[in-house]
Amino acid sequence: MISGQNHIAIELNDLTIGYRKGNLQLKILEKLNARLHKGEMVCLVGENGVGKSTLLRTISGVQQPLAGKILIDRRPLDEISSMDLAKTISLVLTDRIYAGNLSVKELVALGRYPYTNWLGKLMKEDHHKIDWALEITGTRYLEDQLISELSDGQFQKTLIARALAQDSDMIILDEPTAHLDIVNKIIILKLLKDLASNTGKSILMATHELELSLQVADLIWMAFGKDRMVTGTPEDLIINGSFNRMIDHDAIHFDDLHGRFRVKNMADKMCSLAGDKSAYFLTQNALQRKGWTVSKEKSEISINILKNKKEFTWQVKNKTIEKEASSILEMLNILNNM
Amino acid sequence: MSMSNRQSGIILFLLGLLVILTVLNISLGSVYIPFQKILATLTGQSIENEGWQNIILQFRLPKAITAILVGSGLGISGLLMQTLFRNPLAGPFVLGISSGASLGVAMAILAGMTFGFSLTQMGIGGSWILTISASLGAILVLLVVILVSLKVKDSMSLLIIGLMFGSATSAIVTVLQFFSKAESIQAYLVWTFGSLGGVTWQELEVFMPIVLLTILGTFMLSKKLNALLLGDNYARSMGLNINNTRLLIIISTALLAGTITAFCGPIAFIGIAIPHITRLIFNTSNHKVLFPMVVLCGAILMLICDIIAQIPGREYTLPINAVTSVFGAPLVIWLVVRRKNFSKTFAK
Repeated sequence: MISGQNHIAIELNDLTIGYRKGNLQLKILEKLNARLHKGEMVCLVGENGVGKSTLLRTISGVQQPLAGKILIDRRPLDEISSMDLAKTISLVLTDRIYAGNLSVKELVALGRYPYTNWLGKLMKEDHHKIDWALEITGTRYLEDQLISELSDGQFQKTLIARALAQDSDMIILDEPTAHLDIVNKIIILKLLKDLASNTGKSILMATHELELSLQVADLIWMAFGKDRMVTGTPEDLIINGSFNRMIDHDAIHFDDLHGRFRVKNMADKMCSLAGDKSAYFLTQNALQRKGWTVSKEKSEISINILKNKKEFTWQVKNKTIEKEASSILEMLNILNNM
Repeated sequence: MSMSNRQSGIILFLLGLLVILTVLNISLGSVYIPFQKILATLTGQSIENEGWQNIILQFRLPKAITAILVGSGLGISGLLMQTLFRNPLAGPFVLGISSGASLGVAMAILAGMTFGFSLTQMGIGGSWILTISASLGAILVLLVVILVSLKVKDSMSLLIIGLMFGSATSAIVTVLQFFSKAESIQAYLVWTFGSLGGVTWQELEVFMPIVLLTILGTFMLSKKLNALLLGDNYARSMGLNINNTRLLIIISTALLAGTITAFCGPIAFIGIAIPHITRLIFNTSNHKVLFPMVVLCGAILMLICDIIAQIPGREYTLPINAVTSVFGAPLVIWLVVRRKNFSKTFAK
């Protein structure tokens, strides 16, 4: 956890969330305790249906908690007026927007809603904030474009710009990188990360990008089914095995060493791998993908990577045969025929 | 909101068109009146032929004013419903308001027949009875819808409930017709044709302030409606009181659609079409632009429909309710086909 003297933006105390149906309570997550400090970026992770969106909705005041407390800036959420809350928390959601004919600038300007008069007239300060939001999200060049003409990545940036124009201390995002290609995913995450560290905004983001979130999150809130939620730095959660606990499935395991998920090897094929370092990792990757367990110790089948100038050669040996391959594909074919 | 040159150009053109169409609307009718005489009468001079003056001032002028009010009012209520329900097919009558008015009228006509007097023979008094019973029917449905809207928090459910109310009231009207004499069924059918010409100056004294004040009132909702475009969740997160706004939208729509139906009968299509036409012409979803422009486009389209309905030079007029659909539908189809991304202009 980042230094304790930092200002606490969001605090959950024994929070239970879920739905009420008459007298019945459908609890989704129970007894949650967590903190989000000013300037921190927190990724909320968990499987589909575990209650991430419900938690975000509860924290943003759309849904009532079943029990426990939410403190926003040390004030109980239910004591904050909706106008004050609008100036404290802004949202980026996955909801469809029913106004394809709205221009990017008009959409971003809507973020000024809590500050403008009854006609929504924009004053100098409003224009200043809108310009800043367009600038920092890199959407300035799109300002006159209609949102129906935007790509998914541009649209997501525009939504973030709208939240920034709302000038809130906290931004809550629900899967802002869904439907984006890898480059745009990274651009969005980097943008959010920079916002948190440069502007002191607190960012809480639900995401399925586990591997990417390890690189950008200050803190991870990891929700488990029915159970509870653990919080900590990404590294702490890896060390204490939370990642492997979250993905409780035969086919996948979390590779602690490399900080990534791997498809578990089903077959029991062993080989040893040695040789040139520059191709070692990629060769190992290919072998693991094909279901081989790779070790450095001696094994019945051994592979040695040789490097001659820029050319690689893979020597594949077992008790009887010894062959050479000039590509990884060829090497895999040789292994297949053994 | 700054307007581009293109937009200001279109607005000037439309304003000019509105003036021309208003004069044209008054000039044309079953009786031929020379154009100079029309202009003279409209500019306050008296002309020697008192019959013509009477036709122009007592019949054609109030009819043109009614057309402008009906087109604007239905356009605005259609826009309100489309934004509230985020549904391009929503119109002024989705909440069952016109069905409620129809029920009121059907009951009045049936009751009239049962007690042995015919509303059509009662002249002016009869038309007030029709108006009042239509209003009562619309208000009844409106009250139920408001009660339901206080209970149901989800706009989509409200839309479905409104449609169900509409179907149920229509069904009751059908049952009433089944038990009615041919005469009263015909009287009811004539009402459903819609009519702009039946509104007298006396009635305009009630009709005009209600429609104009409600339209002005809805202008004040434009900021809230823009926020609603982003959906309930975003709107709430920006500090909008959703329930409050929804109630204001429903009441404004009901006032406009209910009053218009009460005085002119159910007029189809205009309410759904005008907001789409305006959005396509001005390429915007911003209500600060849409509100005044819907008023303008609504007035223009209704005047055109009324001119067509009169069939210049003939003695009879076509039912306005039919003309709005026959003329309006191809117009919207043309606009939609021309813009291949029509559905995108509505949602992202």
